Amino acid sequence: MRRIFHFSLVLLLSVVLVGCALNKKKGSAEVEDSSVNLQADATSSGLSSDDSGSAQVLVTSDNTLDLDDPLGTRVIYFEFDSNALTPEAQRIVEAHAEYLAGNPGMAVVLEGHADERGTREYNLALGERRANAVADLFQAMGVMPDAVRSISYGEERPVAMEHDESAWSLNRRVEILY
Amino acid sequence: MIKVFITGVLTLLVGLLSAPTWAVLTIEITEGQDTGIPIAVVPFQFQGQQRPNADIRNIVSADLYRSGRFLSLPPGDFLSRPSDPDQVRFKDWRLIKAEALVIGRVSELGNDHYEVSFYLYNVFKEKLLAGYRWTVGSSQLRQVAHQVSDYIYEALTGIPGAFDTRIAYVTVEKDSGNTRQYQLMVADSDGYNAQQILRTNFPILSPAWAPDGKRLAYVSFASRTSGAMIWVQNIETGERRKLLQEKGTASAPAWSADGRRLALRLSRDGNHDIYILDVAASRLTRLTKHPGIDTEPAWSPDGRYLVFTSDRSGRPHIFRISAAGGPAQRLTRVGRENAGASYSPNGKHLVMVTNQGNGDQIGVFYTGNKQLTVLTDGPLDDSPTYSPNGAMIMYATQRGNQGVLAAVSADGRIKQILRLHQGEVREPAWSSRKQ
Amino acid sequence: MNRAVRKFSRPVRAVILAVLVHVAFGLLLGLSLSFKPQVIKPSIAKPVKAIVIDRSTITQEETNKKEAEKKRKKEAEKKRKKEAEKKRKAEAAREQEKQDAYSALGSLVGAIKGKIEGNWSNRLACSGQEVTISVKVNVSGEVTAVKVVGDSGDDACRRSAENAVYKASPLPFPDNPRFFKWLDQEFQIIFKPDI
Repeated sequence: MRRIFHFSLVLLLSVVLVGCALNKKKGSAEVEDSSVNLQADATSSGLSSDDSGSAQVLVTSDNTLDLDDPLGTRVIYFEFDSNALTPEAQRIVEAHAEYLAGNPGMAVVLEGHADERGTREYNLALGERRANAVADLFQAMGVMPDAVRSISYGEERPVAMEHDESAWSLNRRVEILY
Repeated sequence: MIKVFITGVLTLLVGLLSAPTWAVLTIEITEGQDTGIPIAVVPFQFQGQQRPNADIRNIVSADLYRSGRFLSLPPGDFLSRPSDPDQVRFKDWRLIKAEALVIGRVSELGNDHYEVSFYLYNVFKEKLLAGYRWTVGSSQLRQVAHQVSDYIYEALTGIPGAFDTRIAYVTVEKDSGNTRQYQLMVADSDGYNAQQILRTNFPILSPAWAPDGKRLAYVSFASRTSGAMIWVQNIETGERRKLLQEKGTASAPAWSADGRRLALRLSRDGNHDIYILDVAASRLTRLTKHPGIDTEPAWSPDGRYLVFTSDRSGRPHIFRISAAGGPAQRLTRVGRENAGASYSPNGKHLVMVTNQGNGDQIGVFYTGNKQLTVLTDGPLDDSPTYSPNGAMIMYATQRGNQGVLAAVSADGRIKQILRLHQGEVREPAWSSRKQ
Repeated sequence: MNRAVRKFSRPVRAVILAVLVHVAFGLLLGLSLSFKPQVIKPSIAKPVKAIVIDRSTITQEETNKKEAEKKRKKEAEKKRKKEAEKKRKAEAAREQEKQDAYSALGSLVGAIKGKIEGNWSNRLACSGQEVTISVKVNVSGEVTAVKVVGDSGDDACRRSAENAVYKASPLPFPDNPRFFKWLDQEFQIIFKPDI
C-alpha cells in the first residue's frame, strides 16, 4: 500500500513539476497566440501585414499584455518632428535591451515610422532617425550591433489612416520586431 | 480802358482754351476675361470603315483645356464643319468669336494604319498658321493627337507644348488579403495608356526619370530586414538593378541633365547626407557632411548647383550648394518648413512643399527676389513636379479621403484633378523627354 | 551881325533904311498911276420869264432821295447784319454739332472700353507687356482696320489684342450720321493688363 502511495506521490509531484514547466512555455505560447489574434484583428481593421508570413506584432499602446511587463509592449511613440525617447519609451526600450543582452541568440528589427505631414523622403529619414535612437540605446546597454537591424518606412505604413492628431500620434513610432 | 481791354483778351484766351482740341482719342484697356484663347476644334472627319478608338478631336480639346490657356468652344455651336481648307468659311467662325480654328481628317489606310492631317487658322486674319500630316498605326493615334496639341499650343502661345510627354507615379491598392500592393506606373501626360512598371508589397517612393526617358530610378525595399534602396529600371526591357552596394540606406535619386550623374541621399555612417554618383565610373562623392538630415537633392538645369532639404537650422528648409562642393546657403526663410524643392526648366523658379501654418501646400519660390507664392490649398499636398515647358506643375493631393494627382498652371490660376486609377495615387514625376 | 553892317554906326543905319523905304513907296506910286482903269459899259438888261421853282418838291425829292438812300443803306445794313447773324448762327450750330459729336463719343468711351474688355479673352498673353492698336471704324462703328502701333509686345500678346478688337466690332459709336464728319474715325487702344 505504502509503496503505491509513495509512487503516486512521486508521480503527482513530477506531474506537478512538469505541469509547471509546461505552463511557463504555454504562457509564452499564449502570448504568441494572443498576439496572432491581435494581428488578425488588426488586419481586419485595415492594418498592414507583409508577405513573409511570420507573425508581426502590431499593438496599440493600451494593449500591454502583462500589466507591468514592458517586454510585452513592442511599440514606442514620439513627439512631432522628434526622435527623442520619452521617459515611457525609454523604460520600454531598456527592458528590451536587457532581454536582448541576456539572450545573445535573439535578433530584432527596429522599424521607424513617421506621420504623414511633410515630404515622404524627409519622413523616411525621420523614421530612420527614430529607429537609430532605439538602436543606440540598445548598444549602450550591451546589445551586440549585429543583433539589431534599423530600417525606416517613413510615412508609408501608417497604422491609423485618419488625418488628425490622434491618428498622427499613433503613426509616429518605432516597432520592435523579433 | 486798359482794364476792359485786358478783360477782353483774357476772355478770348479762356474761350480758345476751353474748346476741346482732339489729338487722337486713346483708350486704355486693363481688364479682360481671362478665359483663355477661344478655339474651335472641329471634329476630324473620318474616312474608312473601322473608326479607331482614339478620337483626335476630343484628345486635343482636353489637352488644350487642361493647359488653362484655351477655351475650347463646344461643337454644338459650330455653324459648319469643314475638314479641308477649301471648305473653310471664316465668317462662320467670326460669328461665334473663335480666335483660332482647327480642322482635320483621319483616313483609314488599311492594315490598321491611318493618315492624320490637320490645319490651324487665325480666324480674324484668315491666315493659315500650321498644317501637318502623319501616317501611323492605330496604337499611335493618341500620341499623334498630343503632337497636334503641341503644335497648336506653340503656334498660339509661343511656348513649346508638353502634351506629348509621359508621367510616372505610384499607386497603392489593397489586395484580397488586405495587404497593400504598390505599383510603379508610367502613363501619357493625360493619364491614358498606363503601364505597370513594377509591382511589390513594399513601398515605392521617389520615381525619377533619366533624361533619355528610357529609365526610371526609384526607391523601394528588398526585404523585411533591409532599409530603403535605389533601383534603376529600363522601362522598355524591364531590366532593373540595384544602384549601390552600400550598408546604409539610400533614397531620393535625382539625375543630372546629361544623365551621367545621380545625386542621392545616403546614410553611410548613420548620418543622412547628399552624395553624387558618377554612374559610369560607379564613384561616389560626398557633397554634404552635417549631423542634420540632408535629403531630396535636385539639380539646377545648368548642372552647376543642387538644392536640397536640410533641418540643420532646426526645421526643414531649402539650401543650395555648388555641385563641386563647398558651403551650403539657406534659400528659404519664410514659413515653418520648406522641403522637396526642384527647379523650373528655365532655372528661375523652385517648386516646393511649404508649410505656412495651413498644412502642406505647393509653393513657387522665385530665385530672383526670394518671394514664395503659394499655389494650392493643401493641407496634405506633396511631390510637385514641373512639366518640361515649365507651364504646369503636377502634384499629389487628397480628394475626399483618396490620394489623387492634380495639375496646376504655373501661375496658379487653373487646377485640375487627373482621373487616373482606383485606389491611392501619389509621387508623380514628369518626363522631360518627348517620346 | 555881319562885319559889313558893323562898320556903320546906328544913326547911319537909320538913315539908309529911311531912304530905301521912300524909294520903294515912290516906285509903287508911280506904277499905280500908270494904270488906267477901263470902263466897261453894262449891257441892256433883257426881261426874263419868271419860272416858279417849287422848292418844296426839291426838298422833298432830296429828302426822299436821302431817305431812300438811308433806307437802302439801312436795308443793306440789315441784310448784312442778318447774313452775318445767319453766318454766326450757322457757325455756332456747327460748333455745337461738333461739341455734341465729341460729347456723344465721350459718353461712349466707357461702352467701347467695356465691349473690348469683354472680348479680351487671353489677357495672360500680355502679362507684363503693353501693346497699342490703331483702330479705324466706319459710321456704324464697324471696325474696318486694325493695326499694331510700334514695336512692343510679343506675337501672342499682339494677337490677343487684335482679336479683342475684331471680336468687339461693331464698336459703340455715336449713331447720328451728322456727327460722323467731326470725329476721327481712327483711334488708339492701349492694352496693358494689370497682371
